[in-house]
Amino acid sequence: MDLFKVESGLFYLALAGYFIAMILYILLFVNKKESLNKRAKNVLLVSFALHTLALITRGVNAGRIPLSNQYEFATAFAWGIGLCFLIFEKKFNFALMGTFVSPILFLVIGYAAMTDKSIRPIMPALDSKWLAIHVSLAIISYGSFAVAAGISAMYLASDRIFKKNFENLSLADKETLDMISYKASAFGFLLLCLVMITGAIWAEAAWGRYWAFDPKETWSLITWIIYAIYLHLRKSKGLQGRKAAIFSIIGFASVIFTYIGVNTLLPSLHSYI
Amino acid sequence: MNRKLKKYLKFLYSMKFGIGLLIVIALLSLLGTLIPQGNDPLFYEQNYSKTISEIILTFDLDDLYFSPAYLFLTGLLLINLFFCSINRFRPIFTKSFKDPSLEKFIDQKEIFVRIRKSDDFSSKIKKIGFSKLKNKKLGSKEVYYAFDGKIGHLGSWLTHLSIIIIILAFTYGKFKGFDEFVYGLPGEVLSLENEDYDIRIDNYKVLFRKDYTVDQYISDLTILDKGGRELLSGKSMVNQPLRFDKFNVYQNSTGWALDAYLFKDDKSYKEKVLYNSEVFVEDDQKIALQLVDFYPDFTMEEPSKPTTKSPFLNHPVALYALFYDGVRVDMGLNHLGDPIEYENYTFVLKDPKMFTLLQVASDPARGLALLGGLILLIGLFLAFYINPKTLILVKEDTYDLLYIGQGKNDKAFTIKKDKILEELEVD
Repeated sequence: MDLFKVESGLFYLALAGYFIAMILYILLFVNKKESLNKRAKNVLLVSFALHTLALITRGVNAGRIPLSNQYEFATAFAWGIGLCFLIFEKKFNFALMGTFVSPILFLVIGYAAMTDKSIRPIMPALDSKWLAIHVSLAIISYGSFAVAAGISAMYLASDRIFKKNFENLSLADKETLDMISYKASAFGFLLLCLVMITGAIWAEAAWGRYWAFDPKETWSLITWIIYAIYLHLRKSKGLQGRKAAIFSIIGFASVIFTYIGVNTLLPSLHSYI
Repeated sequence: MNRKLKKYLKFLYSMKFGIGLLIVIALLSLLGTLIPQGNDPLFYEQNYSKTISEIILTFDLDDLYFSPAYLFLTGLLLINLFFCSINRFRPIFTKSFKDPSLEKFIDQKEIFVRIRKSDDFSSKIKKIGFSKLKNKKLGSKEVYYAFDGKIGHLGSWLTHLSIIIIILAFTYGKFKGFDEFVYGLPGEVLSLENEDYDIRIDNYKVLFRKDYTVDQYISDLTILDKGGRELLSGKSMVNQPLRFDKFNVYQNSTGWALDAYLFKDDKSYKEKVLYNSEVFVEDDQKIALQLVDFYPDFTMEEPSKPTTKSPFLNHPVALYALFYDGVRVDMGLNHLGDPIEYENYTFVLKDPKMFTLLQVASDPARGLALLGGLILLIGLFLAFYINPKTLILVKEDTYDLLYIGQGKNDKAFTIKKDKILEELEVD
C-alpha cells in the first residue's frame, strides 16, 4: 500500500471537511438554524478524525513523529487548533464559536496544503526527543491562542451578533466569551513558556547555546511579551472586555508571524519548521 | 528621603514602568529581526543606503541584542522587577502562608449573607473546592472557616523572580562562559584557547543513510590535561555533546581535508594538511593554493556545476585556486595526484579524509537558567490555576451567616458560588 497516497487522500478529505464545516458555521451565523450547528460540529469532528489518521499515517510512513518540516508543522498546527476548539467547545458548549475559529483552522491547513509534502530524511539536529516535545507543545499552545483569538473576534463582534435573533441557539454572554478567551490565552501562555524552555534545552544540546536571538526565538519572545503584558494587566488591573480581546488578537497575529512570517521572510535556524 | 526622589524610586519599580520597558524591549527585538545581525560593517554599507548604514553602525543595530541601549533597558527591567519583588515580598509571603485575621472578616457584617441551615452544606461547598473546614469559637459564636489556595498569591511573585533569575543567568553565562571552535583529523590533539585542556580526536565517522543523507556525525574524543593525562573519553554527536565538568564538546560540522605537497624546482619544499576553504601559502607569500571545494564522487552531470554523486571516495576531485604574487593565476578541477604547476612550483593533492569541526562551550549558569524556567512554570501555574478562596460560616440560632470570597476574580468560581448562595440564601 502506498502510504503517501493514503495520507494525501486523508489529508485532502480532512481539508475538504474543514472547508464544509466552515461554510456550515458561516451559514449558521447567517441563517441562525440550530440544525446547522449540529451538522457543522459533526462535519468538523469527522474531519478532525480523518486529519488525525492522516498524521498517524505520515508518522508510520516516515518512521518518526511527523513534526520536522514546514508541511508537518502546519498540518499539526491546524490539528492543534481543531483539538483545542473541540475541547473548548465541549467544555463551554455554545453555538457560533466555530464561526470564528473554523476560518483560522481552514487558513492554517490551507497553508499546509500549499507546502511541499514530500517525506525527506531529517537532519541529525532534528533527530531529538526534545524536538518532539518542543513542537508538540507548540501545536497545543498555538492552538489555544487560535481559539482565544477566534473567541476574542467573536467578543468584538458580539454586539452585532446579539442584536440578531438567534432562536434556540445557546449563545454565550460577553462576560463568558471574555472568560473563555482568557482561559485559552492563559493555557496557551503556560504552554508557550514550556515551548521556549524545551526549545532552549534542545538548542543547547544541538548548537551549544540555549538562546541566541535567532529570529524565531526573538519572535517567540515578542509573542511572549505581548501575552505577558495582557495577562499581567488582567491579573493586576482587571483588564478585560474589548481591550483584552484586542490583546488576544494581536498576540495571535504575532504567533502567526512567528510561525509563517519568520520562515518565509527572515533568515533563521528554524527555517525548516 | 526627598519626596521627589521617593516618587522617582516608586516609579522605577512600578508596574507601569515595567510594562513600558517590556514594550520598548519588544519593539527593539523586532527591529533586530529585520536588520541582519553580526555582519561586517561592509555588509551594511553595501546593502543599505549611506544614511541607514550609518544609523545601523552608529547605534550598534548590527549587534542590537548586545548593544548598550538593549543592555541598559534589560538592566532597567531587572531593577524594576527586583525592587518590585522586594517591595511585595512581605505582604505576598504573609498572604501565601498565613491565614488572615478571622476576626476582621467577622467584623465586616455586610459581606455575609444569611443562609438556611442545610444538611448537604458540605457537599455543596465541595463543588467549589472547599473540602475541609476548620473550626473556632469566637466569643459565643461557633465559626467554621477555610482559607484555601493561599499559595496562589505567590504565583506572580515567583514569575517575577524567575525572570530575574533567567536574565541574570544569561548575563553571567555570557561573561563567565566561553565558546570556541576547533577542528582536526583523527589522531590530532587540539589545544583550547579558553581552558588548560587538550582534546584528542581518537576517531571520526559519518553515518550515511541509503539515500546518502547524513544520519549522524560521531567524534570519539579524549580530554587531556596539559600533562597529557587522560581525563575523559567519550563520543560527541549532534544533539549529544560530550559533557565534561569544565565545558561541553558539541559536534558542529565537518568537511574534507587533503594532504598537500609543494615542490619547488622539482624538489620537495613543504607539505601540510589542507582543509576545505583553507589556503596553503608558502615561499614568503609568493605562491598560494586554496582548496575551494572537494567532490568525493565527482560528476559534471549538470554542465558548469561540478557536484558529487555520493559522499564516498569513488572519484575524488578538488576545485582549487592558485595565486602567484597575490594574484589569482589559475582556477580549476584537479584529479587527486595530478600535479598543479605554475612557474617553478608544483602542488600535489592526495589522500582525502573527513575532518571534524567541534564547538567547545561552557556556560556556568545553564543550570540556573533552567531553574529560572522551572520557577516560571510553577509561578504561572499558581497564578493561573490556584485561586485563593475564603469561606466563613458563622453559626447562629435560626440562620447561619456565610461569606465566600476569592482572590482572582474567576468567573467559573463566581457562577458556582452564586448558584450555591441562590440555593441557600434566605429571602
